[in-house]
Amino acid sequence: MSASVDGEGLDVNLTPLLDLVLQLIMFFMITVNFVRVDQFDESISLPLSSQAVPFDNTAEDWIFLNMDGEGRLVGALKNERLDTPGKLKAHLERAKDSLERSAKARGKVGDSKIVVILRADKECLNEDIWSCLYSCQRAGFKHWQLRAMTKL
Amino acid sequence: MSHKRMKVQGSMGVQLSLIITPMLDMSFQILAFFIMTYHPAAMEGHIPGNLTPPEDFAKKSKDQVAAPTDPLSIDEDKLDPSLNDAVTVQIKAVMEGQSTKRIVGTPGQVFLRTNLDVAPELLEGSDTGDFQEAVLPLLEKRLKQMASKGNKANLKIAGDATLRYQYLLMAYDTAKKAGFEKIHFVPPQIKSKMKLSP
Repeated sequence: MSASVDGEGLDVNLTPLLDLVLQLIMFFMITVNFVRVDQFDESISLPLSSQAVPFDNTAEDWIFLNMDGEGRLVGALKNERLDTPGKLKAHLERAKDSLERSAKARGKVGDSKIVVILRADKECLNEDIWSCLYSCQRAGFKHWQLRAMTKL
Repeated sequence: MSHKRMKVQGSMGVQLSLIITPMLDMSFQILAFFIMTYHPAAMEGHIPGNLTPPEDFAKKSKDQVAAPTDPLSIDEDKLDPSLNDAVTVQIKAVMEGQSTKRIVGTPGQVFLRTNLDVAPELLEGSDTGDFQEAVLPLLEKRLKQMASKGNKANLKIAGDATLRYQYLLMAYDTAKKAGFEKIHFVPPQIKSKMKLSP
């Protein structure tokens, strides 16, 4: 760091420091990833799949379902008591209606592509996955995604 | 906070200097905010799928059956005629009480079936070997053989209801690596309906 003497004292040259700080800010702004707490549950250990593909942004909206190793819905739905297929179906129908209404309010014409994203723990059973998808199907959803880690 | 200063330097007259201290203060605050809220992007990917609406089951079925009350309990062969030529990978899970050293819910046996087979064929070594280390490479090799014979279009993965989800995705990865492009998950017969809430 350089300093210049102007007769009154030492003046620290802050320009390189400012440059560096602005570059760091730029880096963080570009890589920022605000996580919505209703979408992700940190306790879930996703399975590994090297063939999983990166996210696509073709859907108008998403509904996130987080399932723990025991096959129970956690995260934002933890306190909803969705303990039967009928309750889950009713919840999903409400969510779907709400998303479709907001899509129409935004000027969307026709069917909205709403995707159910299932973030299931690697330890849960095949039947748990399908119990949940069964309710999604009954609620009128046509698209789903299984989330997996692409790298450990 | 610093004040704007005018520097008088001999004969050079008045020189206005840009006050960068407040900007630096603000920059540090923004930097601190980003550092605290920084969350590196998760290495998550997705496996996309489509759900057939219940009313479409009858349309797709070759027998034109009525829409089932429980769409998941329908025989998968009746769902879509285009899937009749698909290769099926059936993964049987180790059940409770089974006399084996393997853990319950892990794959016990792997069967392969094509439309030409009368009965499913047991993948050799799948009932004894380690699933990840031994069975999956064998499965990949076998699927590659099938793909080279022209059975590349569709593949169905039928896991037992009690099979752990991670093993399904391992089989999915293996099928993709073997060259199969359209992979379908066959819904299992669900006995215990749901335990979705804690």
